[in-house]
Amino acid sequence: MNQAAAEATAPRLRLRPSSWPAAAARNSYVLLAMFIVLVALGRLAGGGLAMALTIGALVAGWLSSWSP
Amino acid sequence: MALTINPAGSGTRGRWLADAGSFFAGVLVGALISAAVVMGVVGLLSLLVPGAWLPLLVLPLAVPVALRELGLQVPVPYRNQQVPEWWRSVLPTGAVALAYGLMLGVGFATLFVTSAHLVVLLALPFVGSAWALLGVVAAFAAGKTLVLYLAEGTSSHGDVIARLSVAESTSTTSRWARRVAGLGASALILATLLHVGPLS
Repeated sequence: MNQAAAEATAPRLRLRPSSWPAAAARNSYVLLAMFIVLVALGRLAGGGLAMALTIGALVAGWLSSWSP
Repeated sequence: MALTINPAGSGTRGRWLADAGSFFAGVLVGALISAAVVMGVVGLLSLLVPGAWLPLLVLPLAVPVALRELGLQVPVPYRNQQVPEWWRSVLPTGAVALAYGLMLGVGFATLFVTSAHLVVLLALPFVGSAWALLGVVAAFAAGKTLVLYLAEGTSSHGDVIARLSVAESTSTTSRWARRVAGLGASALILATLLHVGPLS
């Protein structure tokens, strides 16, 4: 069986749409999007070390909570 | 952590929220302990190094750690172990949440994950305000606690495992998304510290 056929027959785990917001709590793309938005908002707000540290701390905390 | 602190493990949704609160408080206190140690070291260094040069001392420590995130085998001051699993069998969920939070909040007692953690701690002494410092540490604790939302609406450990297996992506693009976010956060802090300067 080739790879495409194997993927087609393999059981797929899917979440109900109601579970998507919760699943976003551990999603790399959501994390990156949040970081970009926060940096943009931080620049609009004038930046500063406290702002950069707050964004960095949120990213560091969230990212490190996914450790294997 | 969502496998330990979830509605099924806590018994009720209310108890789960209380346990999540205990975890947040533990992380907050643990991170404050690490911050106090780093600030003490920087305070001692300030007796030897002129204040204007102190932020530059962050670079020789932060840059190698960032390089490790890119795959270089650089030694880092982190314990290469997870939280003790046996605590779950001897302590009630609320106490486990607090103890795990404390250990994870300190940061260096478990695995290295992102350079942003070390960079935040190293830059923290230069923030110049106790309230700003508390806000930064609270943001770190909130980030650590956010992952518990993964268990929202679940009624069994099996439900949480199913969500974990879907949410946890090991694809190359998602791995790079994590690296870009972590390294971006480190770069943002270092650039701000060195460009804008301390006490901003």
